[in-house]
Amino acid sequence: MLNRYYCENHKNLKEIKQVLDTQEVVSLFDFLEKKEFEQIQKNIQKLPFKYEKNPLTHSYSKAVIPIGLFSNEVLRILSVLTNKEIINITAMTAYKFKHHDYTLLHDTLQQKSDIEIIFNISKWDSKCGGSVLYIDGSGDFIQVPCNANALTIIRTKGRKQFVKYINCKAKKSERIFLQTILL
Amino acid sequence: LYQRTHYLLPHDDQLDGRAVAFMYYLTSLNQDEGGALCLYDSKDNTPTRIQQKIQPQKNTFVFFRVSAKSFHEIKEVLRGNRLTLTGWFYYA
Repeated sequence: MLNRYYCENHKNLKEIKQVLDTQEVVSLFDFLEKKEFEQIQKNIQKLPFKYEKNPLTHSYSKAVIPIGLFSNEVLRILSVLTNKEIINITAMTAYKFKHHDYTLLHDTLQQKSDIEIIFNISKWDSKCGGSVLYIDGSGDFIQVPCNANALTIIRTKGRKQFVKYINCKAKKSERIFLQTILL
Repeated sequence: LYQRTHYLLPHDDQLDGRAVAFMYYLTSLNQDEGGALCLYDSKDNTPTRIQQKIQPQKNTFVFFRVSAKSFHEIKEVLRGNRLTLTGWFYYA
């Protein structure tokens, strides 16, 4: 169940949409109700994550998310906020970053999306690295908050994403988030 | 100066006529303190695996030719300080 704040009051949604339209990024904290979020957390942690590494581009584990993770209510809210008709999210990936993992910007990286959505599964402390950043080449950047159960919508507009190296302060902790793109 | 959590991810150093990259170590770090210079093997100008690890050793000068396959990284410093003089020799 979605946090009531995001679905019961049209005024709230209108304000959120306005933030996205003007700032090109908006984060919805405590997005799902606690019980539903904990269930999703459990389901994601059970996924068969597969580690992959290319030294010049990335080091992380990922897993494909089954279709239908989010309720119709969530899809409706995302449709309203993004002006896109979202019937289902068919290409969502779970990423897991642990100590030594990272992604790097590189010449062949092309951000093909118009909108990206990131949903944090694990609680994370940015002093351990692992920040998700979008840069546009001008020196400006967008940093995705790392609170668990926060959903961030980013209008990518030529921005490129990278994830900062996870340093030794993370110890055994893992940063897990879900990511999908809307074309 | 690299301190705890500092690192440098894989890259090849190629830029504006650089011929040779060098490092002169002013501090020593042992293996469990991190900070190693790692040199990669490469295939088709893509790094494949770490071929050699060089731990910082005070008063040691390390250098390598800069090329399309000179991929290297500095492993994260886990303890202590990694202090070096670093630079490049350029083609005339």
